Amino acid sequence: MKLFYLVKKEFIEITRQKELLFLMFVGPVIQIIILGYVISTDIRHVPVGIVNMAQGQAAGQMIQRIRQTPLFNVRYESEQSVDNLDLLKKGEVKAMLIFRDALDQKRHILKYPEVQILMDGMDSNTSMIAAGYFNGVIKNYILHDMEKLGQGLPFSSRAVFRFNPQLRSINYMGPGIVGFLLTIITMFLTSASLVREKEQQTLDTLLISPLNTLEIYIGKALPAALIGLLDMVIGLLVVVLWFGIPFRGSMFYLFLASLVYLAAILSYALLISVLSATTQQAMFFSWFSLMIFLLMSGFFTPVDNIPPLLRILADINPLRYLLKIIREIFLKGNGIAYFWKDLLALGGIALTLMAVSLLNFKRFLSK
Amino acid sequence: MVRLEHVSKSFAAIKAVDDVTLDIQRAAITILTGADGAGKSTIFKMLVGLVKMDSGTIFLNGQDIGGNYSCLTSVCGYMPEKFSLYTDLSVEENLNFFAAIQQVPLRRREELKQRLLERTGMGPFRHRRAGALSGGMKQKLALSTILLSSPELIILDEPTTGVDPLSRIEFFTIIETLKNEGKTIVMSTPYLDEAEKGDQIVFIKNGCIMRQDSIAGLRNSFPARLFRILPRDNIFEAMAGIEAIPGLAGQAHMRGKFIRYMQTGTENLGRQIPHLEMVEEKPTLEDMYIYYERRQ
Repeated sequence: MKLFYLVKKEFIEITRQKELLFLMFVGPVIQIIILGYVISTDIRHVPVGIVNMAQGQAAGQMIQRIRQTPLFNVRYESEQSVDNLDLLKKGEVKAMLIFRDALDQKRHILKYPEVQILMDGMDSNTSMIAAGYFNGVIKNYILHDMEKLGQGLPFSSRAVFRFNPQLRSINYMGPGIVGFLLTIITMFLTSASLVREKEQQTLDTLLISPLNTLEIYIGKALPAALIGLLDMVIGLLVVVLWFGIPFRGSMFYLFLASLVYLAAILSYALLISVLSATTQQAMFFSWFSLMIFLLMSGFFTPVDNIPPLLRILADINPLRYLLKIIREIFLKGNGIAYFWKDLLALGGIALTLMAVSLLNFKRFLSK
Repeated sequence: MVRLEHVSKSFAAIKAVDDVTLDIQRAAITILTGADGAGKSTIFKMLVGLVKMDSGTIFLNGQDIGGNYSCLTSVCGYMPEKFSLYTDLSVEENLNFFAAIQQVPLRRREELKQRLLERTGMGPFRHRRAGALSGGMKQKLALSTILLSSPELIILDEPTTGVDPLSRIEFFTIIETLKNEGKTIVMSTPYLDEAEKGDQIVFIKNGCIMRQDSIAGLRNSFPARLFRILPRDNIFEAMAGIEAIPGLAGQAHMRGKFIRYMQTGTENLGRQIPHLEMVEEKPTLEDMYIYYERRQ
């Protein structure tokens, strides 16, 4: 019962702060919508320059295909040689396509032109993807042309994309953003709660009350957990209803994984709160941790890309496992048989963090 | 009721409390007074277990508590120096919360709350947020929350610091009533006029108890005599004249139009400074504090 009143008190305190309420329940909706549009690995409207010095029809038809795709925006066209490097340096274009006639040994013009693709490699990711698309457009044109003449290739390969057939990056990012928001809300709310009691000296009053350590610990974590779960539901609704991301898995497993994750992240946040002397310190500590969690989670780039030595950090990062599980549940509709190992790892991290956090909490209270 | 025996506490190289032995008498007001950083708050925190003692023993009703602070906190209410209630909660919500965590039976809560609101005159402000209360009302609310559990021992750490004079008077009226109801009160204050209201006064300096006694006991055992000297002309010249007297053991200091002289030796001051008008006075608590403070 004492715990109930402690939790109730926490809720009253939170709900009295209107700005905080806005940030907790409206903020995530705004954040998901903005992040959903902004964090995208899809490429769109890449500015392209084209120099067509070829005389054959094929070059013109290839250029026409490039113009028609929404991936590229042809900003510059010329039929004479230009200073390609200068255009790339100025940033007017990200790619230069140079079409020249290909000649055989007798210097006869061949049917298909020679194509040189010059890319601005500064943004390596976009460049790689765009270069791949250029090659695809050109190869498809030639293949199509050969098929018309009955000269198809002796073999064919076709990639089939399962779980996200349109290759929408939001389908991959959306569930990740929900997991990330769960982390932000709960970590900031919890790491500030105990340290605020320290600053206000209300902790002393709690400590000499009949409340025991575990009750204070749970009383601090529970409100943030409930608010975090509510935010997660809001986030799920936004990504499903606004962005149309399919939810194929089990809601039960999603909440199970989220609860295990919450145990981990709340323990960590309480550890921050115990170690911090002021709210400002707690906020800095939380922000620093959040960045590490995010960068090491596979949110932006695959965890496999992380160098082996740093991968240890990724292996003990609870967000990494949550994101993997959420994405599997969301897009693949996977059940526990597919992600039990990740759930187990997450549970292990949660238990370790809880033990460390509770131990520190007890040590702090008994000082 | 409570006895601290040879209690010490250091924070790094700083000795906050140094071999303190203190008796807190039942149904009486014990007041600890001393400068900031004298160790008053640390003594209170050790008493309720918020700060661990380095050495010493605490006895409750003659029994060594032996590190089991819950037996002490179960009979005491502690009000920290800084206002430590939830500012976003209303007066009533604070009372409800503290009644709940102090496990006040549900059927008694409402009645107790009403009585406390009436006693402290906070009834009309029951729905006001604690953060929006005046300094005096905040302290009265803080006191009310600790009274919810009807503690035998009430520990108040500088409850009137920063509180307006009228609220201070009201606060002390409540304290007196509590004492008359049989409660044991131990509090600290930097104000010596307030300390005079204690049944037992404890002077503290640098973590050590300089003196502890009742006001009458302190007066009776005060080893110095106090004189008020009225200069005939210029007070500064008179002061310089007194200081120039060879072999004068006491201390003189100006206080408005007068010079106060604390005689600690056996000198016949009247003979040494015959040209000044002198009246012997009863020493105030302030005089006694200054005497012991300087002697140490």
